[in-house]
Amino acid sequence: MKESKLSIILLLITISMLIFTGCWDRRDIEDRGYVLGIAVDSYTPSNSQAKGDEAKKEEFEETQTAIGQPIYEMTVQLPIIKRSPSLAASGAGSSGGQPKTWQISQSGNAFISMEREMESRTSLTLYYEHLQVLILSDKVLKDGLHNMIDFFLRHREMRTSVSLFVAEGSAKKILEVVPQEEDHSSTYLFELPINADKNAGIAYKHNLGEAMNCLRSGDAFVLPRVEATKDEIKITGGALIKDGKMVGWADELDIEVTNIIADKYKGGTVMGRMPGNNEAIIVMEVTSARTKVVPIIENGELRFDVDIKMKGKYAEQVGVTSGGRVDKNFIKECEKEFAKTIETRCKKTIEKMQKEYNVDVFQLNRIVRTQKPAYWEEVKDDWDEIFQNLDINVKANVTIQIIGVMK
Amino acid sequence: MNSEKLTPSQIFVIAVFSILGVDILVVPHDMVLLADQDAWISLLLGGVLLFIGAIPFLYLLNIYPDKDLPQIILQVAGQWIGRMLLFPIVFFVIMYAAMSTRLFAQALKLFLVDKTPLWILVISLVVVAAYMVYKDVFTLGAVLDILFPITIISLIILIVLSLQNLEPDRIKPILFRNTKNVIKAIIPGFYHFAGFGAISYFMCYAADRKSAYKAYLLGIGVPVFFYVITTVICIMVFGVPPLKVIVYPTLNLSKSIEFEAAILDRLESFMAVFWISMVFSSLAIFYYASVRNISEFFSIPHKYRIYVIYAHILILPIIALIPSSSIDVFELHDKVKYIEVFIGFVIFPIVTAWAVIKKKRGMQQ
Repeated sequence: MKESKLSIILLLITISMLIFTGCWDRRDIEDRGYVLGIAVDSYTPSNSQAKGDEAKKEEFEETQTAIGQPIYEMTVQLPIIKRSPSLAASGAGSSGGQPKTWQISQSGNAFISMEREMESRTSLTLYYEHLQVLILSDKVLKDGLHNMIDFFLRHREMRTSVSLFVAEGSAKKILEVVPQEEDHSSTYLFELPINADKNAGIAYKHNLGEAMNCLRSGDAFVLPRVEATKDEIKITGGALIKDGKMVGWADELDIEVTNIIADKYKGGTVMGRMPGNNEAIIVMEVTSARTKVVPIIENGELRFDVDIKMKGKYAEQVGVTSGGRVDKNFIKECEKEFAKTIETRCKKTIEKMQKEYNVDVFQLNRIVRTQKPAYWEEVKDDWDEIFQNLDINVKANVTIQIIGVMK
Repeated sequence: MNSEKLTPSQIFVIAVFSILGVDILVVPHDMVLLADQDAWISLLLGGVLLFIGAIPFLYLLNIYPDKDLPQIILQVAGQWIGRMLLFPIVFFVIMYAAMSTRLFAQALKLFLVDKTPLWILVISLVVVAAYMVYKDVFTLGAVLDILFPITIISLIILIVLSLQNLEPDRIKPILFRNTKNVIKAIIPGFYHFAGFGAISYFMCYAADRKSAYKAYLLGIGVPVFFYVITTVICIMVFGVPPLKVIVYPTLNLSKSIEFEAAILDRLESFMAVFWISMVFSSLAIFYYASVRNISEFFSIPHKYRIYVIYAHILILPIIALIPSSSIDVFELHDKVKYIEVFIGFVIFPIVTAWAVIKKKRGMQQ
C-alpha cells in the first residue's frame, strides 16, 4: 500500500516535470525589443542619389505591399540595452558617444505588415508594453487620424496611456533627437508634459485612450505639437482635430484657454499692466482655478456663461522698482486687471476657434448633450453652424491670496 | 450524511461566486449596447428581479431541507416528468460552465499569454476544478472562502484607482428618451446574474438554515453591487460610443490606469488575480452542480461519482472548444442565458407550486 502510494507520487512528479517545463509564451528578457516610441510619417518615395550602404538601407525600408501602395512610414525606437548607463557604470559597456537608441523605419500601408517586415531586420521581438510616445506627422493627421489609429488601439500590448504628439513635417526627426539629460528621446518627450502644472500651454488630453474616446464620440480635441532641434524637444501649442482630421494649429495661448474652459487648468502665469503705471508689467502665479460652463437657453437661443474663478500669488512686477506699493487697494486693482486679461484672452481664442477654424475644441457639444438633451436632439445635425455663431460670455474672477515676502 | 456543515460565511461566498463570474469582464459592454448611458439602471432593475426570483426558490428549498435541486425535482415531479424538468437544468449548467471557461481562456490568451494554445488553458483550469469537486463541498466552501477576500479586494482596488480617470458628465442625461430601451434591457441585465440557482446544490449542507438564507440573500447582493458599479465606472471613464466597441471593458479599465511614479506599472497582470480566481470559483461551483445533476439524471450511485467527475474533464473542454471564433463564443454564451430565464421563470415556479400542492395534500391526509 505504502509503496504504491510512493510510486504514484513519483509518477506524478515525473509527469509534471515533463509537462510544466516552460510555457508557450516564454521569452527571455534580452530577446525582447522594447519599443519606446513610434513615429508615423506619410510615405514619400525616395529619389535620393545615395550609394552603397545608404542605398541598401533605403531598399530595406521599402515593404512589398500585397494590396495597394505604401501610404505610411513607421519608425520605431529601440533602446540599445548594452549601452545603457546602468551597465556603463558597472564597466560592462561604455557608450563613448555611440547612439543609445536604434531607429528602424519601414514603409507600407498596414502597420502590422510593416512591423513584421521590421522583425526581419532585427534579432529582437518587438514588444510594445513599454511604449511611451506615438508621434504623428501633420500630414498623416490631415489624411485622418481615425484612418490609421486602429492598429494601435487593437494591439493587445499597447497601453491606452501612450502619449500622442504631433510633429510638423517629419515625425521621425523627433525620435532622432539625442537628449541632454535622458537616455532616449521617447522617455524625454514622455516626461515633458509633467510640467503641465507650471506651464498651462500644454494640452491636457493627449493619450491614446482619450483620443479614441473623442474619435468615437465625434468630439473635437487638441493634440500637443512638438518641435525639435538636434538635442532638444519643445511642446509648442497643439493640433486641432475635428472629425478625425487635423484642421489647423493652435498656439500656446489658445491651448491655455482650452485648458481653462475645460476646467483642466493646473497652473501657470497671468500677466497684466500695472494699475496706475502703464509701462510696468505685473504677473500672477495661478495656484488654483475653477471653471463652470453653464448652457442657457432663452427664447430657443443657446448661449453659454463661462465663469472662471482663479486664485493666485502676486508673483512679480517688471519695469518698476521692487516693493513699496502693495496695499489693499492696489491688490483690488490688480485683481481686476488680471481678470480683464483672462477675459480678453479667452474671447480672442473663442473667436478664433469659432470664426477661423469652426472647431468646437472646448467640447461644448458634450455639455449640451448631457445637460440640455432635448435641445441637443434638435440641433445635433447642424451643430457646426450653431457653434460658429454661439454667444459665449466669459467672466473671470481673480483673488490674490499671497503677495510674496515683501509689500 | 456527512457530519460536516457549511458555515453561513461559506454559503455567502458560494452565493457570490455562483453569480460573479466571467461576466464581469463583459457586462459594461453588453449592457451599454442595449441601453446606452442608462445601462446601469437596467442592470440595477435586473438585480431587483433577481431578488424576486430568489424568494420562491428559497421557499422550495425550505420544503425539502435535506435534498439538493435534482433530488427535489425528481421527488416532486416523479421519475419521468422530473427528468423532463431536470433536463434543461442539466444542459444549462454544463453549457454555462463550458462557456465561462472558454471566455476566460480567451481573455487570458488575449491579454496575457499570446501563444499558449487555448485547449491548454481550458484543460488546466478544468483539471484543477475537477480536483476540488472530487474533494467535495466542504473543501469547495473552504477554498472559496479563502479566494473571496483576494478577489474582492483587488476588484475594489481597480474601482478606486479608476476614480482618477472619471468624468461624471458622461453618465448624463439620465433616462432621457431612453426609458423604452432601459426597460427592454432589464431581462438581458438579469441574464448576467445567471447562476443564482446554484446555491440549491449547497443549501442542504448548511449548518443553520435561517442564517444561511440571510447569507444567501446578502451574497447575491454583492454581484449586483459590483456589476452596477463596474458599469457606472466604465461609462464614466470611456464614454458610451467607445464602450460599444471595447470587448473586455473591465480589462481595458485596468490597462488605462496610470501612475505618475512607475511603481505598479502593469496593473492588469495584478488584476488577473481577481478575475482568474473569480472564474475558477464559479467554474468549480458549476462543475459540482453538473456532477450532481448528471449523477441524479442517470441515477448513478454515490460510489461511482468519481467517474462522473472524470467524464466532465473530457466533456467540458470539448464543449468549450466547439465554437471556432470568439464572436461565436459570445453568441453561444448569450443563448445559454436564455435557458436560464426559462429555468428561473418557468421551471422553478412549476416545481415550487407542485411541491406546495403536494405538501398540502400530505397534511390533509
